[in-house]
Amino acid sequence: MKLKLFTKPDVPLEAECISTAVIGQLKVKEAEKMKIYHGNREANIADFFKVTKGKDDLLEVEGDMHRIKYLGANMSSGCMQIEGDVGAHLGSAMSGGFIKVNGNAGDWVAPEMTGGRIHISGSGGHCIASAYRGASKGVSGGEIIIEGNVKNELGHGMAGATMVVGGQCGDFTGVNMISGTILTFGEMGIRTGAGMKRGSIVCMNNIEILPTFSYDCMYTPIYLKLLFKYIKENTKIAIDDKFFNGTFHRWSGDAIEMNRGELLVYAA
Amino acid sequence: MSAVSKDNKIVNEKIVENATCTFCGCCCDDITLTVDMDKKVVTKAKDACVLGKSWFLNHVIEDKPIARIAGKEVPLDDAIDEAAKILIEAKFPILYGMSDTICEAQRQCVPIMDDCLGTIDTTTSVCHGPSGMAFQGVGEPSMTLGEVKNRADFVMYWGGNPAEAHPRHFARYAVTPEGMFTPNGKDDRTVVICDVRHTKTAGVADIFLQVKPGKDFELLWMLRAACKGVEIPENSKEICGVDKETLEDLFEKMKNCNYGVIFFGMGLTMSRGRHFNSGALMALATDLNEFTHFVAKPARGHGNVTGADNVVSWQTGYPFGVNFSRGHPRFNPGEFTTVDTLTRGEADAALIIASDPVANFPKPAIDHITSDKCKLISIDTKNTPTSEAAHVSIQTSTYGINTGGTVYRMDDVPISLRPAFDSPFPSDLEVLTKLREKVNKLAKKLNRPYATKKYI
Repeated sequence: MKLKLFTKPDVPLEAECISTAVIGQLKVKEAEKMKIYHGNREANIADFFKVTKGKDDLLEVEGDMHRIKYLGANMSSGCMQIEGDVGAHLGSAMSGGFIKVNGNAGDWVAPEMTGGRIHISGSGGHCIASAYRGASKGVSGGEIIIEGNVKNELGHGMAGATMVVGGQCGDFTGVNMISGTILTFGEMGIRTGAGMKRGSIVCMNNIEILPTFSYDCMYTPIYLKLLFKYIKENTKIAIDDKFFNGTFHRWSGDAIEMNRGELLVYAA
Repeated sequence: MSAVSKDNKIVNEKIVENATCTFCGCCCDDITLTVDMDKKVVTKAKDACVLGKSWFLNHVIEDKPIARIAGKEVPLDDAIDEAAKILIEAKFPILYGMSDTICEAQRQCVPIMDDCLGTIDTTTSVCHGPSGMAFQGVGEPSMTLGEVKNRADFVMYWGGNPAEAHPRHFARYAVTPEGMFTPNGKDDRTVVICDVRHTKTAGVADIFLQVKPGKDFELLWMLRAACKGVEIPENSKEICGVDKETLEDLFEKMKNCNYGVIFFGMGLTMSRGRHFNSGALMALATDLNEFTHFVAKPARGHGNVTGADNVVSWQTGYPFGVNFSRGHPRFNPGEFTTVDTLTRGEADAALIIASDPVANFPKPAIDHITSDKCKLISIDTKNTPTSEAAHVSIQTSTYGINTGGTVYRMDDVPISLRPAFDSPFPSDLEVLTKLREKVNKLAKKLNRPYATKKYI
């Protein structure tokens, strides 16, 4: 199925039904009548999108959707391709499937994600793969690749996912992280890994380390070679060959928690 | 009551004992007001601080229309009808402000936005909003100012300047008063000030910590680690501006006090790190309970901003930035807070109560709220840039001077107001009650699902 935006919403539009989990299973006429929320008003998909039949196993969505929230929510399988920018809460509560965004994403990408994959060719906003306010645990599985930059609180409270950022990160990357892996290639903000319990944050640039982290050693983690190879084959993130055999400074933290997290900072 | 003035004229004078000053979050309720009932002015405000005196003595009844639509004077009911119509027709209306009005008026605001399926936000979102978020994340080791007065022997102010922002905080609650377990006042207390610069507040400090700008989190984090037995690093001065010996001495004093309290201000909540800074401070206070009794509290600014948070919390479950567009309350600062929704150009109607965003918000937000894309409604006691820019503007009487009601002190203690004299302007409560009734009628006509819900 293919959806093309023809009317830009003038206030935020919440469209959690634009997902393989819902309209991916419907016929064109049925999909057109699905409810979305334009601010506080109910509307139909057909009020904003032209719906046509496309490839069977692919949901394609096209247009400038920076004000459209919850695209790809609750996805458990299938494939969704988005051409253009998207708003907040992309892939909310996703448990499987694949979302490819050729554009930028807003804040709160993949909150409460438990599985599946998201690949964003542009940049992302704040709180990507982050726990909602008041929640102690964020995403618990899946893979998120963002080729551009991200803002603050990437992977706040994440517990088990894998995240790759090709550009810069804001402050508090991996704050209160419980487990999982974050790999970043650009410059980092401050307070990376604050309050982390376990998990790995790998930085290819020098970072400011919090005083509650302690230095361990310099070594070459084998698993990173596999991760670099995977990224090189599947994304446009430029990976220097020297990274494959590079050595990393290892820091343990955060001492105010369990001190079992690791910060790996590329050395040479 | 009458009195004789200096020039031997009989003055129609009234004395109001134990009046409450609603200028700042201290809500001092021991002020004695002398009121000239003929001129309708407060002539004396005994026991008020410099801010309180300015608040009471400069209040005059202005000769201005009660209600205006597009700048033209109209009857109040017409303005309320127009405001209700704008709000109910809007797709993404917001209500913002409320920190300078009584709780009874704030109570009317939540059902208004519930019926309009809009967003309600208080001025907390631009001051101690990060603290509200931190409460959710790490909890609030709380107390009342009465406890502080009677028990606290270790008092710390972090990222605030109460000597100028809350002038009576020292004398009434935290530094000099003689308490049940602190009979010698300041002699029984250790006072610590932590700030990026030497302010007037630092003058009362036994210990002054000059933290590097933007390094509060690192300092708090080191103290938290010390609670877990981790040594303070040798290079702490390089990290945060305070040397190891001073920090170790501070930590010993914190651990060994009988009752410790930290008040924190916007130097912490509005600097880089925001809710993580507040969260780190409250987590430190919680951690210190391993050793002694320790509490923390934000030093709130506006007279009833604490009331706004309390009222919105008990009616929706969340303190600020609450959205009803899907029929149920949702809380997400950044997504539903006013500065953000206006900056992104999302709101199509705004009801501003006792606040002045046009004078204070970032330019993109001001550009949007004053544009044709957003219908602006203002309910305020004074003419402000916001009320001047508003399509519908309603002038109301001033809480604490002209109208009674309830306000919450910064420690969440409710206090009754004792007004000084009447005003020709209606109260916020009167205007908002009428607006609520009108909005509710319109919502029922539209079969809005929650228009029949009863609010207490």
